[in-house]
Amino acid sequence: MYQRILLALDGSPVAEQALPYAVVQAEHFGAKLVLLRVVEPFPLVRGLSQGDLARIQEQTQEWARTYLEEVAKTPLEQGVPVQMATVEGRANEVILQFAEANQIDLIVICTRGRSGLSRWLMGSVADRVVRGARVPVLLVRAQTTVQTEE
Amino acid sequence: MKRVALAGLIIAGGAGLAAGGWWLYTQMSAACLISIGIFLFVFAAISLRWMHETAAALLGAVAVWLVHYVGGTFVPELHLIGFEEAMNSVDWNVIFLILGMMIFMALFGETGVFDWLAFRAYRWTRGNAWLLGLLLVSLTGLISAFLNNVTAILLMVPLSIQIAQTVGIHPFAYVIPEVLASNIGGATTIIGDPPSTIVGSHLRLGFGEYMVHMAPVALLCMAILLLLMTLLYRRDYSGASAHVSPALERQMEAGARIADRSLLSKALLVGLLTMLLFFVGDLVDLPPSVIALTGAAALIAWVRPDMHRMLREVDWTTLVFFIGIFIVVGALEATGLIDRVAAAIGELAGERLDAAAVLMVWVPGVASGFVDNIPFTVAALPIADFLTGSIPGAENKVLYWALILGADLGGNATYLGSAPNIVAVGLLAQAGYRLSFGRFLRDGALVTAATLVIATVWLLVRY
Repeated sequence: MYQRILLALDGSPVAEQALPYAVVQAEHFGAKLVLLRVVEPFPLVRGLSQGDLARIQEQTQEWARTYLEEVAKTPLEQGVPVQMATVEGRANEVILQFAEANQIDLIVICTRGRSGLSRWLMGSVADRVVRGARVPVLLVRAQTTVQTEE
Repeated sequence: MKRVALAGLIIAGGAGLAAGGWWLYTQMSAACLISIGIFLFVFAAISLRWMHETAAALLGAVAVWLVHYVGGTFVPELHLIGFEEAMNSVDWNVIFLILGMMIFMALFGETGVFDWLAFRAYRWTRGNAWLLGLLLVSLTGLISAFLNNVTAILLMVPLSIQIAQTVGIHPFAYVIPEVLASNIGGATTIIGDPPSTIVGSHLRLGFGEYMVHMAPVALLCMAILLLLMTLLYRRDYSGASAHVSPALERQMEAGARIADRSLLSKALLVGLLTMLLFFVGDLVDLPPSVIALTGAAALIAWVRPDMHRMLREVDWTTLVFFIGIFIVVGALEATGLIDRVAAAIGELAGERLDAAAVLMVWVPGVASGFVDNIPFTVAALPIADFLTGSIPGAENKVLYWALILGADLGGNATYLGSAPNIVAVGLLAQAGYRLSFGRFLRDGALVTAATLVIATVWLLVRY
């Protein structure tokens, strides 16, 4: 049923909680797991030269690569084929664009389950992905016990 | 619900603005009101991040000229400042001093010496997380004092994240104190932080004269920061060294090599001579900008870098931002508004120098946590001039020192307070560590309060 499953990651341990669910789906359907690291655009403040911005982008790519290689270990050990990608932009927009452009059949994403004022102020990436996606979305509610230091 | 709340806010804000505008209209000239409007627009656009700071400052400067030339042609009361006056209101010493330091830094940054130093620090401390933290934070403060604090953060934060991962502690335990150190270290020298450069240049201070007054209190604040970081992160540091990862250590060592030894020797020699010139330059009234550009030009002549590549390393947006802000504040000054505000503050403080000094530390100190401290400092300078001329005993420049300390140290309170804070939060996010406003505030507000108290006591005792 599914051939390409997308797991959206923002680099935090919270987002990684959806990994086991994505792996189970990929194993069950014999699908490829696409690990997508979404990087927020770097804040453009004064004090940064063109050279600085180029170096920040290079560093960001390196961090994302190291992170994705670490996350990919689990599915690879379980025999699930993995593809890794890093994109920069507003999370909900780039997840939807990537899914469209890469023939994704299922999007797996973790939701922090914010409510009240926090949700009003911050919005929810998962919410917008569900509303905008043309393919099924599997939402995984994050467990609050994860140590995030946030 | 959201729309109703938003509409309510807009109506209340609009009514407040209209009432305030009417009151101002009855009190001030049209030119004065327009220059306030332009300044507030630039200030809000920067502080609320509607657009890039440089775009806001440039728009403000162009608005000043359009009102002056186009509006002033039809309504003579709308004359603000023309092109010539605007050029005179720009402190070119600040612009060229920053340009000189940027050119020097562009070349020095290519040597890889900071990666090497950070790895040496790691080796010297044998992975002791607390000692390592003290060294990294002190190194950030030192780099911020002699280069600029955004550069210091760009150099130190990626390294510190890697080191924190190597010794197995959360990167916040290094990065947050480093950000705080960059703002404190910036107060040490006239080239460290923009408010220091702006006030120092306005007073025509030499490098040495500035340091005699500011370095002792900045060092005292650094000592307090090191003490507070030890208390705040004692659990992280004590539980860390057992987790040293050999793989990450090897990776760090591989990246910690000096990239160009010949360039490093040349840059160090020219850097030392420039520092020496900064100190002796006071004797012959050599402006700091001329010294910085002499150093930069000498290094360019010696190293012969690819100029196109090197000029990409200069942050032109900052230079244009400064020019725009000087013009916008120049228009405010020309309308006589700043003199009126200064007179009102003078009445409030009376002839009490101590009260004026406390106000001059704490008002910019608190404001700098939330709004950009550069327009604030440029606008506060004429107020410091007025008060220095009207309050007996203020000739020792205490109000200027107070302004520098308030603007520099106050930027630590929130992560919106200064450019290095925003850059550090951005770098942490790229590495997968989200630093929330509240989490930064916990450390930032504490350190800001402690250092502002130290600064106040220092000023009251010393002057």
